Amino acid sequence: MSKVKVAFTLNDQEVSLLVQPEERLLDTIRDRLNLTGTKEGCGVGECGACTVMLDGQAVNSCLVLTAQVYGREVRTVEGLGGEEELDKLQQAFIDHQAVQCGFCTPGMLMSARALLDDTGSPTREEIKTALDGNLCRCTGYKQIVEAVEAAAEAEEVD
Amino acid sequence: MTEDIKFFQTDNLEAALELLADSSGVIKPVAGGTDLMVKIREDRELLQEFAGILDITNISELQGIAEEQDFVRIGALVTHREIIKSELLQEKYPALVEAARALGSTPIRNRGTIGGNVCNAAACADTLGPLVAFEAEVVLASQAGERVVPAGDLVEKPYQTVIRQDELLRYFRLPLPAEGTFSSFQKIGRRQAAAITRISLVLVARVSQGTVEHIRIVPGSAIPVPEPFTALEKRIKGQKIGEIDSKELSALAGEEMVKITGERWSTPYKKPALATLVRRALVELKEVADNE
Ligand SMILES: Cc1cc2nc3c(=O)[nH]c(=O)nc-3n(C[C@H](O)[C@H](O)[C@H](O)COP(=O)(O)OP(=O)(O)OC[C@H]3O[C@@H](n4cnc5c(N)ncnc54)[C@H](O)[C@@H]3O)c2cc1C
Ligand code: FES
Ligand code: FES
Repeated sequence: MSKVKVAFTLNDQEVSLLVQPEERLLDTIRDRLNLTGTKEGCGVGECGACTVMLDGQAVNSCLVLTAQVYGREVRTVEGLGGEEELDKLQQAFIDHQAVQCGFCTPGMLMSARALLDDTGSPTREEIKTALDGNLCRCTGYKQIVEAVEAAAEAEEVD
Repeated sequence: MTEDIKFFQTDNLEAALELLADSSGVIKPVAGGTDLMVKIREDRELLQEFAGILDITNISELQGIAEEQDFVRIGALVTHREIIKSELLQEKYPALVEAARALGSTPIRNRGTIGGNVCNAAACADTLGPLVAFEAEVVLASQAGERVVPAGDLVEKPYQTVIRQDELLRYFRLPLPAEGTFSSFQKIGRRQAAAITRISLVLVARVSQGTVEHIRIVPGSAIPVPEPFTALEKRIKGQKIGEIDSKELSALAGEEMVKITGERWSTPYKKPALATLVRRALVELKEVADNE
């Protein structure tokens, strides 16, 4: 097997490992690095359960080859918030009942985090666009959009 | 088994082209992976066809948007997100920006590239229509040098282009549109988000003193390969904008489609859908021309 050495930053920590040439970032994160917050739904870019941030942008980790992220920065749901406190988005999701079964939540949070880092006070339309790659079977999206709005406001106050 | 597949990564165009020229096996380029990874997922056997995968995302010659002497250059690696954010493209080629905006979902637009969209050459590839309508040229690079192909001649049939195995798509060259050029992108998707286009349309036109001086109408995915509706264009060119009968002309578009594709199971849906898109685009054109 011709394994590939890859080194990248995962949640602010340097990681270095050998992967298969065709290995998906999703599998590396879940199976090798044991960060299981990132979920697999469809495996073909349709559902957004696997969303992570790559150099600050939301991407589907089921469509990224791990070997491609050499030298780049990856952030998963485990890398949100601090040691002790939740990310403002996580708190807002709880406060607004934006979580039911929770399967879509990590992906939703990463899409929303990428948006807020990029756009300080997004409009409702911008929030909907940022979440257009994340499916939720349970909530009907309303609470999720409201949670993101609330988190954006809370961050502006800080 | 995928015992032997290798992964290559380089930021050097020459090195990439040298790898591709190696005849001992197929080296598959990967950019955003949003088409390739889905294909591999759906058919793992596909991997066996490749001796290696070549990550081209770090090659700077394939990146960036820039205005040159008399054209705008769009690198193959430019993502849909970059297209949407580009003020230059918003100003000069709004239909291309709208096509990128309507494509896939946010994570797909963040990662997917215009080069990948065109090289993959699905019948529903959203950026192809605008590129054809703006009369873009495609610059292909290989060890033998560069060659230039008009966007309209690039795709032979769905999923098949004239790009050779030893070539990379380097960039697109879009002629600067004449002052006052209007463009519009229309799309009907089955689903708001992440719907692979079922049918789309690009209209590029210039109206001067009430007369249509230039018109390009290119459907996407209504026909296998995007090409201009020349009969329809002929009917509109030189006409007074006020005298254009959008309804009659939009019906003509449906007929031109059938001339190209023949009657198919999808025709009863696509014909009126396409007519609607043509009508919408013409109405927009009239509105803009009226306000001048
Ligand atoms: C959920 C989902 C929704 C989507 N929705 C849409 C949609 O609405 N409209 C649409 O048009 N597409 C859609 N797509 C398809 C895809 O996202 C786009 O076609 C995208 O632009 C492909 O770019 P990429 O960089 O990801 O291509 P890749 O997958 O990296 O490459 C695609 C092909 O092109 C080749 N290639 C890439 N770059 C080059 C180059 N520079 N030179 C030579 N060969 C090259 C590769 O070898 C491969 O064969 C969707 C995909 C998904 C998964
Ligand atoms: S698992 Fe990646 S988008 Fe569904
Ligand atoms: S909370 Fe269940 S899928 Fe969103």
